Amino acid sequence: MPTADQQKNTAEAIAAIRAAENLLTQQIRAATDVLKAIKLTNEYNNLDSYLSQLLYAQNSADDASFANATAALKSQASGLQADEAMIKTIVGDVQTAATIVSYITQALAFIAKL
Amino acid sequence: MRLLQLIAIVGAAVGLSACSTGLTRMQDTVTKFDQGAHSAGAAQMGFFRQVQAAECTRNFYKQAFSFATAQKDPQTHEYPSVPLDLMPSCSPQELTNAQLEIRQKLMDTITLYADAIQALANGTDDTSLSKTSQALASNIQGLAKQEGFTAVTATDTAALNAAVVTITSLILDHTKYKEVKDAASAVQPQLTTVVAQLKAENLSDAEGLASKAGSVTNEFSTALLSVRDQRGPASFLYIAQAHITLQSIVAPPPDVAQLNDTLDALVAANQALAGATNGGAIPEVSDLVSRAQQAVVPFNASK
Repeated sequence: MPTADQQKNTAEAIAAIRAAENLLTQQIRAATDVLKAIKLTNEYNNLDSYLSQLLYAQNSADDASFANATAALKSQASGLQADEAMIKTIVGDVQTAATIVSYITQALAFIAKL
Repeated sequence: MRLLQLIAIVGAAVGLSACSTGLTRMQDTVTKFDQGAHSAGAAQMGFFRQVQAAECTRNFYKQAFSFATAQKDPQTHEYPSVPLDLMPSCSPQELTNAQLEIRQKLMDTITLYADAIQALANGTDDTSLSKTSQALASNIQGLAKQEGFTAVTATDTAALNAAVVTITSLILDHTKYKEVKDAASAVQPQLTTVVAQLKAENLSDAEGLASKAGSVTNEFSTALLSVRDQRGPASFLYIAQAHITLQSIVAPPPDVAQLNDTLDALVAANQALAGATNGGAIPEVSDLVSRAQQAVVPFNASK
């Protein structure tokens, strides 16, 4: 069964992803360029899919499914890193982009500990 | 002498009447506790189903958004192949059916316990619980003995499973307790543990629900931006339609605080029963019933 530390790290990763999503939503609502809004929405959806997997891992009732879920999450780390790079190019405000990326980086760090 | 006998008889009658009133009041209080527990259970199940439905909605609109925003290849001038299934089947992956079943069993542990102490208050034995209830309690206990319940963060898994075993033991054999207050007192720490787990799960699920609501709403916002580019002021009509559509497909995020307050009220009501002698838990049980009825309303309305 997941240890208390693993559960804590999963919860922290969920919180970090949600924080990144909230900032992305603000950017989508403020966007005036359609292509930019589409790209931001796609990034949001990538994070949302990742969040679903984190919640699934959190709900896992046995060692095997938790191990499989966390292995799948870790294997997608490069995907999240690609999202970070993409967000930097889409979000015009450097400070906001850095904040969003920092949340994703935090999530990756928590996931690495699972 | 006869006067003394008369006084004694009247005194005994008054005493018996008081006992009877106390017993009736306790039965009434425990019946309401049972109703409150069942309403809280219904609200929980409604919430779980909403979590699953939100994922299915998100999946469909994510696919639709990808289809609608696909870009033509500048060289071939053709769209890439993007699947679009207008009537997709959905098998939730975030909270799977198997996981939901385990959640339900956790909630069933509480409602079966409420049924059991109602039987105790009525002075009936374990057979008054239906065979189905007893089989369910046995099943839940078996799962807990295999560490089938996993804690989120609020409590650790071993304690959670031990709590479920203790509560289901009382459900399966409440004859060792003579009074409701003894049974309620015996399970109070375990009930607190189970409720803490349910509350923690609710908070996590709320994050998932909010994320999915954001996903679909962002897709609509982005599409409307494109409509405005193409239709100008006429996009107002699309916005009005999008507003109505969103309200029908994205259930408003439930008030998880209300749901969790109801679970807290359940623990408080049980604590009051543990200290009550003749129905003195009425305020706490009434609070539970009131909160549970309010908590279940949004889920009944969204059916």
